[in-house]
Amino acid sequence: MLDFLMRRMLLMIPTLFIVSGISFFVIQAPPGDFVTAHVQRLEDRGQIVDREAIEAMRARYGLDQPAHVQYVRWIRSMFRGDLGMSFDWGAPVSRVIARRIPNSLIISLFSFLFVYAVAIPIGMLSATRQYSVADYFFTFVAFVGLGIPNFLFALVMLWVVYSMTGQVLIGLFSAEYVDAAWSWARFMDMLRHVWIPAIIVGTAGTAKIVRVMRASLLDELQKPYVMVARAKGLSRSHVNYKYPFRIAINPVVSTIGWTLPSLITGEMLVSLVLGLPTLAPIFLRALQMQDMYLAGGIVFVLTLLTLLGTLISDILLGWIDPRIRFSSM
Amino acid sequence: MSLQTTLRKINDFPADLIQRRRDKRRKRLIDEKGKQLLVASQWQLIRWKFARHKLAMASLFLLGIMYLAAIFAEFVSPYDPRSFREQYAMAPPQRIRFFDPHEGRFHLRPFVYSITRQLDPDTWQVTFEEDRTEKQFIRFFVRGSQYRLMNIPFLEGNLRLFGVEEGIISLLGNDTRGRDLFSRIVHGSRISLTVGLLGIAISFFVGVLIGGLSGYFGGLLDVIIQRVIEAIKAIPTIPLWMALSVALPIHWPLTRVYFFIVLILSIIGWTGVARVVRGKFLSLRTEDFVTAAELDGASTGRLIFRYMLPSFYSYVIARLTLEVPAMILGETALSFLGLGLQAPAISWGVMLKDAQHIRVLANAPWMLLPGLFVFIAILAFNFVGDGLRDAADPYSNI
Amino acid sequence: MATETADDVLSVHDLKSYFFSREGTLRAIDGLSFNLKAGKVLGIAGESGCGKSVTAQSILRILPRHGKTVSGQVLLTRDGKVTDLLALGEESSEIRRIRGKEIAMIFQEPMTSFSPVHTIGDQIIETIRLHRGLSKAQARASAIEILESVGMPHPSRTIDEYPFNLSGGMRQRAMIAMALSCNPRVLIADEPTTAVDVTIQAQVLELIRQMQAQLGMAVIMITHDLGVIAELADHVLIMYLGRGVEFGSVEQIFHNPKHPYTRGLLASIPKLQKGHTLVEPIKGAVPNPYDAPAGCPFHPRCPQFMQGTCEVTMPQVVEVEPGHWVACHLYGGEDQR
Repeated sequence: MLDFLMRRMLLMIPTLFIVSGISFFVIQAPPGDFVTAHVQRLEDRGQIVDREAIEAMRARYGLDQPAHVQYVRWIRSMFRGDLGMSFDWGAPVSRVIARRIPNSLIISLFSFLFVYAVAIPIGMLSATRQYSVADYFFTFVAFVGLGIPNFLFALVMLWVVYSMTGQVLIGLFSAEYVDAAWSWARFMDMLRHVWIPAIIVGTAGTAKIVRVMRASLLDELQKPYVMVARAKGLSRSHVNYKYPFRIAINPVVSTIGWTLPSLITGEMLVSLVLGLPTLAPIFLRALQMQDMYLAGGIVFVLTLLTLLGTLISDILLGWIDPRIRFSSM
Repeated sequence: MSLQTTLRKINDFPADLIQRRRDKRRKRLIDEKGKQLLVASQWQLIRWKFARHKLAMASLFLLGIMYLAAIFAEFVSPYDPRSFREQYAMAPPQRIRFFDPHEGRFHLRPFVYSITRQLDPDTWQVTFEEDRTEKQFIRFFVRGSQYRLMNIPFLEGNLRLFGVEEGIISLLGNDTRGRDLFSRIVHGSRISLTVGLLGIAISFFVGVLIGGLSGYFGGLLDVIIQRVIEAIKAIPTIPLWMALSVALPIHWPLTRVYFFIVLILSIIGWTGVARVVRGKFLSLRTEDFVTAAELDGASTGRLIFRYMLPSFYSYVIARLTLEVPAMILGETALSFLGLGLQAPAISWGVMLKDAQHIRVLANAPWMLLPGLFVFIAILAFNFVGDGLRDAADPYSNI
Repeated sequence: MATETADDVLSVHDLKSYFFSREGTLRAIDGLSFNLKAGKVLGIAGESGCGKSVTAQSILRILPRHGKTVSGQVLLTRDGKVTDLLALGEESSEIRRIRGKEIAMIFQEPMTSFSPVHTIGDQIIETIRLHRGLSKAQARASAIEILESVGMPHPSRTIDEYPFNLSGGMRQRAMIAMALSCNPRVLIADEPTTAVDVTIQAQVLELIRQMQAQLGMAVIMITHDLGVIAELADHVLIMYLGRGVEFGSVEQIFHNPKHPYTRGLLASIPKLQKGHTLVEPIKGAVPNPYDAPAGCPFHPRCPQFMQGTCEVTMPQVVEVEPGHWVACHLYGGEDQR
């Protein structure tokens, strides 16, 4: 098990390198750089910027260097935990990200809890009562959930909430807490708001997990060991609870690996639609402003989160499934 | 009634019926299986199995209609999707009627009431009112405004599937500038429904190529490719797509942007294919029929394209169908955010972008309708993909 | 089939178990009767698909989803008290007290018969605690004892192993230990040797014989292998398409088979005779159980088929010699149904 984990962690290192390369390439790809974009914006406003000032600005940000030099510099500083400076914010990227990331994480975390807390029982119900009214109902709901893109769902919710209450915003905080520092009261206030975006973000994932859980449990329910356990004299509910439910959970746990990235992705789109103060609006702005270190830093941090999620799901899976624990020894 | 009598009833009453049906079924199965199964190609088998998947068949039919409408968009839509008529801005969807309460009689030909724009002098709110006295009958195969089918020069015409003689027909309402939503949705499907197909085509070729190289040659190449795939898969989709599509210059022509968006959407899709292809190649290398072909002196190319690929590409295509929804979603999301296709282009995402302001939504909620079509398309592709996967799975029995 | 006597521990009367599906009704067992005497071994033999396993599942009332036992009686005699298992609810506490305690079962596939994520000890101890009301520690000690008695190497260590860490033979030993853990009156062994290696097969059979002698339980040995029956059984029931076609003592069946099907089965065992093997397979295959042939179900394959009789009526069960019953028109008898 330990071996297995060590190997997984070591494998993450080259992956991270490649990811950093891709991130850097991606943010380098647009023609021009932050300075050209900045000058463009200044000129649009009618200001005249002289050549020397532009070049000075480039030199200050290191943008006059060739791309590979910039990359090496970026990587090197990353080892020190420094993700570079955000041109647009005039602050270290890590600080800009750190300020917004709690909101993103909280939404993702809550939608994660929502997904599994809802999907597992429904999947169990659907499988044990296959072809019942409840099964058909939840299968239908799951299909609807699967088909509706979460940003569209957010848009619909926005409209529904507006036409019902006249409120425009589904924010994360009440007005008095928007700019307040973190406190218990602010946290509680957020709990009152976070469930709407969390459910919106989680719907598609829930639908998928319900189907995974249902299929997996249906599969397990007809395994011979279920009949064996019944032949021992255990009641059906006891048998189901102890054996197939327990084993059917394993494939569900392995979905954590891909649920997390899809939740992070969904969280970004939903935040943009609902105007939530998470990483998403900053990311979009950074992209438009060609604030490359910020954009790259966000992509990198998100990827890191995804990889951590996969690692957690691997650990969980090894913990609950002895077959995996032993096979990797 | 005890269980036993119930069961006896179930058994006795339709016994004859069950028997007859069973005979018919068996006869068909013998005909099909006994004679044809031996000679049936892989594709025939898949088709038979797929045809039994009712939901998938229905979805395929629905998608067929949607694609037909996309091809003949100019003919199907009553108006030019870009022509705006300010006097009908934000007109709501009209109800199609057969019964006229004023005359108190039915008409075989459907009709709509004329609508007129009203301005509330106090609130400046625009409303539309139906003029119950003025019926506009819907006519089919009418002459409308001039168009060029799919922009092909010699396919000019003005024949439209339906229309009205006076006033307007707006099935799904009008947008903020008075453009007909139905016509726009039909035209928008050309982009929204094709990105996915083109995307999986690209994913398929890239995936088979790279996965094949990785699986066939193995070694260091394989290790590097696998690492890269892992890294790409680790990056959350939407941020990656967003970052890539920002790089597309604004001044590019529409077709080029479209093509690059498809490329961007395929950047994730190919990794899954490559994985599968690699796995299959690794396991197929030791299969007897491949060894036999190798001993026969088949060249590497022949080995791959004649023997190895055909044994699993149906499976890969079936799996890829399940990627289409993600790509449709991707295009819609990117365009919605203003990062993908931009305004003169018509796609469902571009249309939804118009609907993102709450004021617009509050006054014209029908502008969310392109979303309904996204929803339907995604569901249909999901069902078709599920059906195809089940049908193409070599391990499921017929 | 066969007369009832006082020393019957289990007797099955006119058992019918059907499976209901969209394709129609599968009559997996269609009027099966037999008796099992206390302390004796009854072998049930037949080709695959003849309903042997369904018989076992019907007795314990653990048929899978679409299966239903529609009629019949399964009488279990315990200390002079007779219980009809089919009269009990499928989930009633009475039947659950009988399962595993009075009637235990050994299954075909030792690999899939254990949950892969629980240790075998966990699964054995569970049974012991359920029926014997022992504490955790006592149950564990008892489980180790039983594992030892079935010849499991290092039982105090293997008890904490997961099934996939054991060899096939060891898994089957664990399975037997689990079945025997509550000292059952009746042991049903459903093809216990099918999924294990030939060398292990002999060991498993020897173990079952030993334990049977030691514990004095009655055994139903379900198998398609007549060799196993010859070795272990006191009585034999030959099944064809959900019905018993012949019943008798092992000598009667092997030395004086009456039913053409039984004869066919015996002839299809490879025999070494003067240097060359003689194998005579039964022609044809088991018909689709969804629609069994009219009349005697064996008539399409029967070498002694009698036109006008066999395909018309179901043969009656007749006693051809004391304790030897056969359902075949060759031995007379009027229409039964």
